[in-house]
Amino acid sequence: MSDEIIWQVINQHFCAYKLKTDKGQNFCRNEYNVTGLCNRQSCPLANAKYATVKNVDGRLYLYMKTAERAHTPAKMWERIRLSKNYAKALKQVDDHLLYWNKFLIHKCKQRLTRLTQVAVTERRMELREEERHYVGIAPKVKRREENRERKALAAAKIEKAIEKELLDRLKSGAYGDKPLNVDEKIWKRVLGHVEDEQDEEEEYEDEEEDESDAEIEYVEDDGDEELVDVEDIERWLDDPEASDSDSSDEEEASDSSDDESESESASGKGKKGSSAAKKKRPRVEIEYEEETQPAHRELAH
Amino acid sequence: MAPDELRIRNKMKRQELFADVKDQKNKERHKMRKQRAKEERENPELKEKRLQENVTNTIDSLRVYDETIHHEVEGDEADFAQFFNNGTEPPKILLTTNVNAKKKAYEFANVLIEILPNVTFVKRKFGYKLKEIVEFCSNRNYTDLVIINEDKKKVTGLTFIHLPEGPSFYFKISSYVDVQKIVGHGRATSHIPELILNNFQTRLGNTVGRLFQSIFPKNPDFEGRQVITLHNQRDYIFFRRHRYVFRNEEKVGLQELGPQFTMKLLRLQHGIKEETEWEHTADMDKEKKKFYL
Amino acid sequence: MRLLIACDDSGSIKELICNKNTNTSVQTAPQPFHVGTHLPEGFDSRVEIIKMVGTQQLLVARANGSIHLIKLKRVDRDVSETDPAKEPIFQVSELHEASTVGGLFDEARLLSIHKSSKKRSRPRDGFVALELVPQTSNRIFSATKSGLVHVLSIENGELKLVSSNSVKAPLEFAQVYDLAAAQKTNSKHRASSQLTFAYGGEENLVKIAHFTSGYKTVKQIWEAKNVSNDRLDLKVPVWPTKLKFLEPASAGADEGKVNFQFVTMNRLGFFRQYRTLTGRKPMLSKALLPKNEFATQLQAINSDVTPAGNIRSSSFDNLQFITSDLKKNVFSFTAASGPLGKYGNGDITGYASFLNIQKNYLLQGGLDRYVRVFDPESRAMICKCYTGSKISSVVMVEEEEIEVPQLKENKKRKPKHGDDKAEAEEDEELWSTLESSAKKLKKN
Repeated sequence: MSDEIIWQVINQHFCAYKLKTDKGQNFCRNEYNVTGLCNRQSCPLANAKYATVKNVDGRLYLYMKTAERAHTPAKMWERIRLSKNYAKALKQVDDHLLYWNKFLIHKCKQRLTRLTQVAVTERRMELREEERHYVGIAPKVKRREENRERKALAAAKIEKAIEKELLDRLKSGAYGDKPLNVDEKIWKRVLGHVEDEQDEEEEYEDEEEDESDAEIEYVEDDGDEELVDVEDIERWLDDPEASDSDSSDEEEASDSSDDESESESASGKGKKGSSAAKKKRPRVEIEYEEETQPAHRELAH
Repeated sequence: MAPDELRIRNKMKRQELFADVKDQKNKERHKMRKQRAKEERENPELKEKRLQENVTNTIDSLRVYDETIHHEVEGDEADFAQFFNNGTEPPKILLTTNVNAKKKAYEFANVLIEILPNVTFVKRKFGYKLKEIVEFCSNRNYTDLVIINEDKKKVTGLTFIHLPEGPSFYFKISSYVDVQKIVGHGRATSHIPELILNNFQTRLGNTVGRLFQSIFPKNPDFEGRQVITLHNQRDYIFFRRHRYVFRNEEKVGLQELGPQFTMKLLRLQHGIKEETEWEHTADMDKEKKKFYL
Repeated sequence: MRLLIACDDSGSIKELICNKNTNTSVQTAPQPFHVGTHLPEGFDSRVEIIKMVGTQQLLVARANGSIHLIKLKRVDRDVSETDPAKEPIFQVSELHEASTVGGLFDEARLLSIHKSSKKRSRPRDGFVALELVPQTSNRIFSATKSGLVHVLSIENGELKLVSSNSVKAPLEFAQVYDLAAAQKTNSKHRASSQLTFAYGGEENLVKIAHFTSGYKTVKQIWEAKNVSNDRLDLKVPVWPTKLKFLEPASAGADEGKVNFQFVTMNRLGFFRQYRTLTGRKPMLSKALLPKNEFATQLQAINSDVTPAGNIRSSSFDNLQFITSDLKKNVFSFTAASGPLGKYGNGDITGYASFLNIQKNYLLQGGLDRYVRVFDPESRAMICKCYTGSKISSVVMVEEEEIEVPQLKENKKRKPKHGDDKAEAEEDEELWSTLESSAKKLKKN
């Protein structure tokens, strides 16, 4: 079939590779097309003598077909691997298409240039580090997240939490001795409150020390028992050293306090589980000569 | 009981009857409440007791058991020091955006400059890899790198990278509310604010809490009476900024300074975005009562 | 079972004693019997590798560049405070440091390399291998990231440095060749002082070297070649992360020729098979992970393995391996069909920095602070325990279950609870008697 007949069919009837546009310019989808346009000159089907450049697995090849091989479709294309060096590749195209028409030589070179540029860009993109990795989020997930956030916000009661935390900080003395962020009156009130407590403690402790020889002691239940207890234990734990270094006269007293501290701290360890009820009870000092033993036995259980 | 359960075929009759039943029930309930209120007024312990016994179950209280919550944090403070500068040096933060950021990102950057202490904003240039930026920052003694992530003209994320050796955090940002849009907002002053971290309980939560501790300086100016709160609730971290005043020893007044936004941890990586220590995945959402922070 | 766990955050070794089905995430499941912390030295000298030497000794490589010899001693657990009849009976270990060799790092070497590579943040030197020299019981081989290869000896319970050599840095792994049977047939090599190992790392192709003249010098005998350039004509990055030897190919074994077979895992997620007789390039290179995800580990699971993890098989066919990526996946795969399935079923949340198979259990630990034991074949989780610290190494000392007296875990705790209650009641009684008779104290 002559080229002309093929072109008549393609141009006037139908071609599977043709992509029609409404701008008067048709494109060609055939992979061997050297320009990508649909016209008589660059149609790879209607030209028995044709050449193009293709990228196969990252390497560029010059593809040529001639009328002499047109009867063997399997061997129709002759391909020449082009050098990686762009200048050399151009030379190769020149050499192989020596007496071909100017149009094909020019278009092959153009295509070679473009494919080289594409490869360079591809390589650059490959080497670029991707900082972000995009993940799609389904609208359903997005909506769910929003709803959960809204509900969490409602449950958070942020302002209340902030107020509580700030008051905690104020009362625990995190703002120092002379806080700049509190009105003086309020601070005095807060301070007075705290001082009262401390005074009470001190008095209480004084009594403590005076009567340390007493056998059993009942003290009134006051609300700050917890604080006092801790302080007392600390004091007791410290005491023996102090009294040891002080004098030997008070040995009896220090002995007694020793025993107490032992029993108290040990029992504290043992019965941490049952808390509130016990803490509110008056602290009983068990008589140290008879009572330490039962206390120990109790522990052994 | 629904009206259908009365099994009377005449609709009008049924409705009438149902209204009666309902009315009766309401009356009973009101009576019971009145009675209870009276009793409780007489001796308040009853009310206390009732309130103690009748605690509503919430998602938070029904949270799936997490053994890391009460587990003590391993290692000394000294060991963490290399990950989080612990007050030895003031934080020095470099703030930047993603490449090709749009206007929203810069607006958000302006807001963050107000909030973060000792911060420098640098416009992101094309062609620098993250590792190079990190090295550049560490050479200039920056302690943290913050990157704003903008996508489709919305600020979607924040990356915190602790320098020089990580870890890296990525948070999703949502429901951002501009200062101007908060009703009755105040104006922030340049005082260093206090920091409140609420509800960071698990081991992972601790790590996140430490991040924020390391970013905000340890020496707040109390005379500014400003406080930044990061409140974690169900893995959502709510950012708020307030000015407070102690009205008396039991009452605090708060004025919001803004902005508001919500963060959600999506990824925690070891080093500069290397080994993943924790990552949020879709199947973590399946269970409503499982929280990770 | 009894595990020794290297915990990063406190730089300690933890002993964990638990039974199967232990799960600390579930309150009703059995809980571990004992978690003991030993030898904490802080994060900077955290334990990187633990190796058992016999049953009584432990070798430990720490991140400050020292190797320790640690003696294990079993003592009966102190059960005095609880009822011994109701408590499970087991022994706990005591760890005593016997000997130390330090200063095995050379960070300067790494820094110079780091200047040319920006793929990681600032490198820290660390140990990549710690292994007994095959067929000896007192020689130890160790290698560091900075390319230092040490041989140490244990003499009368003392560690001594025998020799130090350097190879091309940086190292990601150093794998000792301990397929003993094959070595003996190789007439050229004398088994006594022969120590062959393979190493490689970032931009450091797989190399095989052996020690000559009584561990004095290292001689490289073989080097791999990189695979050819990719589609875009870009160089494929070299970064082998793990290597396991197979037994050498028997067919056409030419005397004097280097004859090894091995499989490697590449950081970029390529699994490769090499046979040195065929050539320096891999026989097979298979991508397991999508782009930009990194693989780190490699362990064979369905074959007999040596203590160093090498595979007692001369055929590449039908081998199953496990690997982990930098995210949180631990999965098994075959060279032929690719990934088979994930471990943990979404339970693992952090990078698995340690994977090993011991006594047919897969031990896994990592950045999510849990240690998990899996059955490698069925991928079922056997136990899971929270350690509170990032994990870099796990050793299974013994797999025996501990007998819980009569009833299981729930009953184990209940009696204790009951005791408490009884105690509380007694206290109540005591208090009431105290209160009623103001001064005198009566007991029951």
